Amino acid sequence: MPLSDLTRSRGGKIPIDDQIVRITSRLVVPFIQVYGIYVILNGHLSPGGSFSGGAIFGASLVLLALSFNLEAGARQIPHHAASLLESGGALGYALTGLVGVFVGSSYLANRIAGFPMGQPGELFSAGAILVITVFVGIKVASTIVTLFYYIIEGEK
Amino acid sequence: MGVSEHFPALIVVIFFITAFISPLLYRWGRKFSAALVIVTIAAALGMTVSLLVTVQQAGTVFYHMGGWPPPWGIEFKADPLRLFMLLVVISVSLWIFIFALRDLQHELKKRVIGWYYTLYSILVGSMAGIVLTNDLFNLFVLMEICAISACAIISIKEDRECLEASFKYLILSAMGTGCFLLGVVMLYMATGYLNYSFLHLELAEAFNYYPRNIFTAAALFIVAFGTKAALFPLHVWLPDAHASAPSPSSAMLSGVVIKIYAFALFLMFYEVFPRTLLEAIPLNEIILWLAALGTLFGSIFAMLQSDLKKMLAFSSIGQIAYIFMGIGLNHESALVGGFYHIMVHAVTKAMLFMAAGVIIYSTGVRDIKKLAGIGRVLPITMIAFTIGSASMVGIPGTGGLISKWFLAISALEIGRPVFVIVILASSLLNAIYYMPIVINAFMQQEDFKKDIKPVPRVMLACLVIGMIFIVISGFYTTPVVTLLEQALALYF
Amino acid sequence: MFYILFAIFLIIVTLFLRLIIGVEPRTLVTLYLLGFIIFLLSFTVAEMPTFGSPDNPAFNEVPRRYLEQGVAETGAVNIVSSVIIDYRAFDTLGEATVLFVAIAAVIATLRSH
Repeated sequence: MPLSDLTRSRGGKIPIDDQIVRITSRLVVPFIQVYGIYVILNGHLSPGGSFSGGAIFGASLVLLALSFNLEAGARQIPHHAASLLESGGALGYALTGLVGVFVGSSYLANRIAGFPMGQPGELFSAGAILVITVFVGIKVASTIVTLFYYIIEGEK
Repeated sequence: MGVSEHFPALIVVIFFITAFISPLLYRWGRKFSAALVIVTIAAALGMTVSLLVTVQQAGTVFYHMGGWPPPWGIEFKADPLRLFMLLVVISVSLWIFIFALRDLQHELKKRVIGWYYTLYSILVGSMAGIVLTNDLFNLFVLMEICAISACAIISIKEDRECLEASFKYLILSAMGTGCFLLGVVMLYMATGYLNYSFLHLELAEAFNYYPRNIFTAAALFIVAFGTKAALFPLHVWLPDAHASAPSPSSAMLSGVVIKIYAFALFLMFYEVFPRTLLEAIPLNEIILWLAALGTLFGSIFAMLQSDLKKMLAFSSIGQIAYIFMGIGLNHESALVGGFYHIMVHAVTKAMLFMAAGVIIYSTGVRDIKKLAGIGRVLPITMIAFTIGSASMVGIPGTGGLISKWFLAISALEIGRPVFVIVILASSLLNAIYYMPIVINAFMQQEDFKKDIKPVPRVMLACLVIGMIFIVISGFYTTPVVTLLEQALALYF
Repeated sequence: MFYILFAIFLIIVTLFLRLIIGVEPRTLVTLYLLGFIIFLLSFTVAEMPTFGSPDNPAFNEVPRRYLEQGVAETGAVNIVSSVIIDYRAFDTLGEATVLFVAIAAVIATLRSH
């Protein structure tokens, strides 16, 4: 039986109604989220980056929704907020690129557009790379959440 | 120079930015996002024209993304030929979008029209990127965007047939994209470059060491772009997808999207692969014969259809084959013919789909046999349909003749008269299925019995613009032909 | 000799599939075409330069500059990040757009049905 049928048959509630799952995920979710943020923010320093970090963060929200119920998950990140972040992340990327055009160097320029480069190896370094990584991370996380909700709810 | 030197990047990026903003605007109403898309396309049109003027004065413009020079970064290239394509793509998109504003209201649910605008804007942006980019991997990424958004503007219609057709299209075009990526990998392994210009230089030498790799890559490119552009035996997805889509989507897909891939194949053969490869293995012969079969079979299939939009979709298979024939003949004036046909067919087929859309909007009739006598109730629409049909057949005074003329002349020049016969035969076949519709529409005495909804003026105005353009392109050919000859001289 | 053995092998496999397992002729043709494509592609891949070898054509000035000057030019210690978000940032913008358009397509399709 597909997941969407399961949710519909229980009036929007996921049938996983288990104390152990709830308590474990309540304990684990903050750590997953912190780890996701860590992977995103260290994209220019260590393996990983925006796509993987965003996927981890998005997965934590999906886990929350699965182990409690859809409403609790939806309260964490409401629909319109998810789609706002979705557009906002991509828009932020494109607009960061435009800085290069305004400065007069080139679209999506980093160093030559005058972004502060910092000391290589520190958290706040690499100029536009950090900014773009954060935007793409937000975008990927909200993509996963939005896809999850739209597919699970079918039409709305 | 100021901001104008950033035009090659901005033409693509403004479409993406518009698409990202427009979902935020839905809350205030659809009108804002429609206006935003129109402003964006118009701005892109302005930038293209200004870039064309610059390029004609100062030569080809290169743009380095992020300021990194070619083998390291992504390069955009604006030469006269690409700008010609860009001009066709963007102006036809603007024209179709204005038509779509009225037509969509009866074809789509209210709550998805806003998303249609978003998808449309991304589609146009990705096509502009495919035309401008000078980097193979960037081309792959843009092809992905183009494929998904093209599927989405079909499946957005509430119709089982649309879902099925768009799913078929999605799978086949994903297969095409996969073949393309495999080919890119092979070329990268053999040369170490992704930039067209660097590949072109490096492949001539690498062909001695890795002939099979490069040949396979070329074969994969033919399959990839052939699938996406509906070259004859790979066309199976096209009729369903183009026939079941909402009319503006059909116009866009049949008019512009398939030509973009034909253009990309042209770039592969004339900018990426070296001449020695094409002399060693006659790949263009394969394209040429497939195109010749396509012109004939596309028309024969079209004759058997009873649904108006399906007939137009099959006719596209025959017409895209003319463009491939231009590429396959490997001769300058054949390519002039091919590119002229890109322009003429983009306008003509889009206009025919618009006319079909108007007929469906106002009467709900899709069956060709039931169209008898419709010329009396929808005169402007059927006059547009007549002129479009004439251009498809290649009657003097329409743009369709000019491209066929160039193709036939160059086939004679290089001593292959068999293709002249193919062109003549397919024109005859075109006449066999287009002309009865026109004749029945005007000559039939019986009254048209269905209820007629009045047609909005905007839709009729769009049809009139198309008619005027087709007639002008049949008489006043010099500026475009000169532009194309100058642009193509760079390749020979 | 090899070819004859190979032909006999093919015939035996065909008969086995058709008579004993009962595969449709149509499926058999598809299978053989697939096998032929696999053969052609492996024939091609066999010719490719060895993966990871230092005298590959792919190891030219492009990766050399990424590796040697990447940190100085982009400030990122992670070379992968410096390539995807700085040297080839437009590709990543494209990928982000792919995600966006996929979501837009899903929403549009689900809302209309």
